[in-house]
Amino acid sequence: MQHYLSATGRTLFKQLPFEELKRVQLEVLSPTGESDLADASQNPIASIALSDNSGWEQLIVVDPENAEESERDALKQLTAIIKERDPDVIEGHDLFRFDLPYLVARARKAKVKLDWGRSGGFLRSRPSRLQIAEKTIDYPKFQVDGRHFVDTFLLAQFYDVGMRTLSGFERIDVAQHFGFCDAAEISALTGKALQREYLRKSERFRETRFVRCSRNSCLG
Amino acid sequence: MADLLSPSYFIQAQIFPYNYQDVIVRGNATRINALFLREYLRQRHSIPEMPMARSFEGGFTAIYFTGVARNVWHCDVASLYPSIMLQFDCFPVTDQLQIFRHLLTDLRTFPSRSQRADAAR
Repeated sequence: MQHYLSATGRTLFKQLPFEELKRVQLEVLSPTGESDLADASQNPIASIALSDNSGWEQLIVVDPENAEESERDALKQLTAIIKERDPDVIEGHDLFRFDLPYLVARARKAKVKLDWGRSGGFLRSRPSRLQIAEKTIDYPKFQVDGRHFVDTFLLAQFYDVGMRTLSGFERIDVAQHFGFCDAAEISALTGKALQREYLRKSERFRETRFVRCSRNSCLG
Repeated sequence: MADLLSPSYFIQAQIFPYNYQDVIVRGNATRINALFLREYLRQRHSIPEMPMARSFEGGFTAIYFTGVARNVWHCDVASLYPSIMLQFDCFPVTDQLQIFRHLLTDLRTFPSRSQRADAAR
């Protein structure tokens, strides 16, 4: 890509206003809201929240009573949505270190293809390392043909190099810093309480997911 | 959050020969180097050889006046380093096409041109 752009002098998105960029936001949640990838990957996905910059939102919830089949359907539905909405950019918080590897691990187990590329290509990754001021961040760099991944965890790290005002880099820290939510809204349902509501298939679980996605990770 | 944090990188993707995803994680020097490389390729000129690594003395600092400065009409240190580099011809000797100088001149005058354009709107 870089060779082509350097040789031709072309650059991407020329003249396109940011508002016209097709951006989809993605957040994947494990049953306990676990953010440790190794632990989360042992369990089926609980839900996948999606939104875009047109105001569209969708929540895919995996049925805990029929987790294996329901997760497989959820992963297929996610891929179908990405193909249908055809975003230029897929955004998320800690996308590289959690959401995408979690999806890949579960898709491998469920034998579902994540062919999200515009030409049908698959998600692929390689180990990468980023030096941001005094920090070194190791992460799997994901790529897919024709789309871009933007991880707000990394953007927050760059933002804080100059500002040094963030109290932390978790989704909730960054969302609170920018005034997108208050702590009570998000922390009302986490850990065991979240898992309990999920297993009960309660409406409260769905509501919380929408709050997390719309106020927090996604559009903001 | 991306609404707030990503637009500046999106603009950079329209300038640098990197895709949007990569322009975020590339360092400043790498991005600027890509501009030089692109221009050398465009002019079909060979890429200058890397200079030999050598040691050099640290920065020079001088104070010509101490105390409270009074009756200051205007004090502007914007683009200080670019201005010094342009004033004293501090450019890489291996840059045979003088791209560094031209890019830096453009960069230094960009804010004032941008302000004038905004004022004219």
